[in-house]
Amino acid sequence: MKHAWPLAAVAGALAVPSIASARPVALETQLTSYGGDGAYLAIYLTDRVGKYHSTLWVAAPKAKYWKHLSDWYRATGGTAKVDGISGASVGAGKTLRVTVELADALLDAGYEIHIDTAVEKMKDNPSEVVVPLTSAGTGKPAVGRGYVKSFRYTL
Amino acid sequence: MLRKLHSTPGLIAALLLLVVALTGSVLSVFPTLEQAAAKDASGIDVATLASRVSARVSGVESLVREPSGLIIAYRLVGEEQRISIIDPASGEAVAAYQPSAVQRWVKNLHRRLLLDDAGRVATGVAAACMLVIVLSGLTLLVRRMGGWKQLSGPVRGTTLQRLHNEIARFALAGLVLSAATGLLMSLATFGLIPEGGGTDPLLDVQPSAASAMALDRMPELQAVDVSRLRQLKLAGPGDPGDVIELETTDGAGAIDPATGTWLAYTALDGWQRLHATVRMLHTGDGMWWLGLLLGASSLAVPVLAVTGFLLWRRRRQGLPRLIGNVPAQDADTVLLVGSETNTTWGFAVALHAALTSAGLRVHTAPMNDFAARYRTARRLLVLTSTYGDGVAPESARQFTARLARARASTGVAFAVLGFGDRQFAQFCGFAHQVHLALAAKGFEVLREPGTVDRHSEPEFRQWCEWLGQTLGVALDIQYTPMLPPTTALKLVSRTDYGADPQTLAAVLRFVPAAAATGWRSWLGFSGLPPFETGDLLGVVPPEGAAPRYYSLASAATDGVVEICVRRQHGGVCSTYLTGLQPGATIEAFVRPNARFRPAAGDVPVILIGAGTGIGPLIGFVRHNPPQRPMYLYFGARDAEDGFLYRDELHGLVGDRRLHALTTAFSRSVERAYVQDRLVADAQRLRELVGQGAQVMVCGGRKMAAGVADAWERILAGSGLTVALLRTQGRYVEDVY
Repeated sequence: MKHAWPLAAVAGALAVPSIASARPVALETQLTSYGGDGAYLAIYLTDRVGKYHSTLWVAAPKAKYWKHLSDWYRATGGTAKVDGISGASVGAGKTLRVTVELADALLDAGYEIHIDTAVEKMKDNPSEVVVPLTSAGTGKPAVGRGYVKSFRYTL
Repeated sequence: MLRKLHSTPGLIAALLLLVVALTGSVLSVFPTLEQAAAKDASGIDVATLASRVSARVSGVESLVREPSGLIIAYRLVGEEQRISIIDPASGEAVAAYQPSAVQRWVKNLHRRLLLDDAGRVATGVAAACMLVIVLSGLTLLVRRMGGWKQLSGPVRGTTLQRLHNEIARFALAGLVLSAATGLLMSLATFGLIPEGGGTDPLLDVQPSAASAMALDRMPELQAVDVSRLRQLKLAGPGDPGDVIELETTDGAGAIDPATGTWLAYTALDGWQRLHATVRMLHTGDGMWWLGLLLGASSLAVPVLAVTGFLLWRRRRQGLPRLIGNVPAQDADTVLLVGSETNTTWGFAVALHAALTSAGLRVHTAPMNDFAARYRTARRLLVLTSTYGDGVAPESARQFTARLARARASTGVAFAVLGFGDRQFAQFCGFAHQVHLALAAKGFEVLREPGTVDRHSEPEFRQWCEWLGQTLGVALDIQYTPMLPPTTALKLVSRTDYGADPQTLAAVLRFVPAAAATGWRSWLGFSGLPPFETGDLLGVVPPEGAAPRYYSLASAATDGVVEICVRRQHGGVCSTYLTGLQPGATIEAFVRPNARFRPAAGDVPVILIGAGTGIGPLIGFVRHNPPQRPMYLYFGARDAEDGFLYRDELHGLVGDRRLHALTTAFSRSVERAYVQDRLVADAQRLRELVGQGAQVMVCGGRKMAAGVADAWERILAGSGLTVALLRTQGRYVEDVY
């Protein structure tokens, strides 16, 4: 999607002191052919005690269905600001590729990337992907429990 | 106005409506299929079901009950999620759950035309259009049938009108429900009406984190019957902070895995319940029979669209182009037209043009469009023909009822000009009725009704002259007779009856002079205009004389145009027709005569005709299925001369299409008329009418009058009269 917006917004959302201590991270999420309509996804970070930290990307245009992304929804109280870090839902078998800005301080600090997924008339999968955010983890594919066939991040 | 409201949305959104309706019909089948496949789980509570499934099936994360009653389990096997169909009796996974891709595709086409929000808006608009069309159509139907009480009665009119109205009547309720619920769902999708549901009840719930209780002992799960289950999410086995989530038809909440009691619960609010009900009524999910009913109703939409379009086009073609027609509420002069065959419209167009160029603000409309009030009108002019003996013509059939509902008028003057044929006993009978009715409503009489005999242009001009003097304007009348487009027909055979060449009768059979071409021939059209037995063939004699009408003995489906003609002394058209030799061509058009048709159903039909009046009657007999009793009383001069179709009639009796043939010969030794035969059979005829029989009379007006007298005698003392039968459409005449 529109490239400039994620950069600016995430920079703001993460409240990093200066743009120099941040870097781009590419998120690649491939879905299975689960046989349903477009999936809603929330990709977000939790800190070292498992507490919600920030949202990386939301592929879920209609806020009224956000409660199906239940872990993320409850963590944010359903009031997350996603300007510039949101886009269309992702079809079965399709791959979502987005690049967002990430503060260097979050790397190798016990943070985890979570993905919640939901599909109309099918099961919700909160935190179906949970992977640690480390320098060593870059480019390593992870498998989800639900509609995510593989997920990887590239620093 | 109402008619525009009915046709305009349909014309604009036709394609969209067809897509939404047809996909709706396809989707309507699925609830039945799903419900048939679902195993009965009544009487089992959720605690029992959950514990059975957990014992038999590994890795269960959640259980879902589909509206059809099907129970499915989402389970994690290794790293992979699987969906299985559960037998609720055993808790066993019996098959993999494979939702239909076809259904999903059709559903997306139905809900959003395979697009995104633009498609959702379009289908919402389609639902609104459908609602407008159905409700305006219902109003038109009620008006046509003469009130709510008559709504289930037989529909009268041309085949196309009957088809449209009868199918619409069947589909109305279903379409109203589909459109109204569809519109509500659409409004909810776009947040134009509240969806209900406040905050998520599961925000901030903390389980007690003690060791888990067995599922079958949990009180809140025991309290819910499987029929009320929507979904149950079990607590993750390795996660002490996780809770059990339960969603039922009444509400949703979180259950503590240690105690089996609610940590939080929110009942559905009013809006949520409303939307759940709306969804069920729209989809038929969980109510398969309703789904099928709605699907069948939607299936009627293509037929209604096509017949509706044809009716709209026929209506437009039938009406003349009026130049500078002023809206009804701005006009100072209202010109209403009652016409059966559109000939009166020819006169109306001329008068409209003359009044308009004289500086008046004229609104011209069919009498059926009579408005309860004309705000600016100062005068009302009515030009009307009469159907048969004093009956309203087609474009004036609703006039009397509409006038009766209108409030009394003040300050509006009126004049009526009747068009008719002096040969009829009630010459311009309907025009006189209209005159009396308007006077009784308080309209001011400008003069007694004028009359025009057999489209006489001089008589029409005379009346216009009077009108011009009364209004103080000069009227320049430019009259051209209004004729529909004609078809060239070629005579292929003729059968002559009668020895005297001056009065011979002939059965003439025509085919189209030019075969159908292009798409018409592809669709199997014969090149004939559509018509049915009993409709009228308007024949235009050479040198532009006024057309003469002949009853059709055949239907378009026969591929032949068949009429009976007797040579009249001095008759321009009959002399022309009976002088034709095979190979000759004529110019002719068809006029529907919808009132003169056998009623739908199996009731007996009594056909009475004399001379060439046999034409439409034998056509009805030819198309009669053998189980329906038809009786024919036929009068001719004698058994040799003028006994049209003699051999064929005997054949029709032989193969039971005709129950009984009774003949009367006026020039034989007995000198009997057909009415004598009727009176002689009084007992049988009374019984037949008691069974609901319909009487159809065709022939000259003298014969028809004699037959009506005979019937009065036959019915005397039975509580029925000819007049009563006429109003019920059970005594119909085609008289010339």
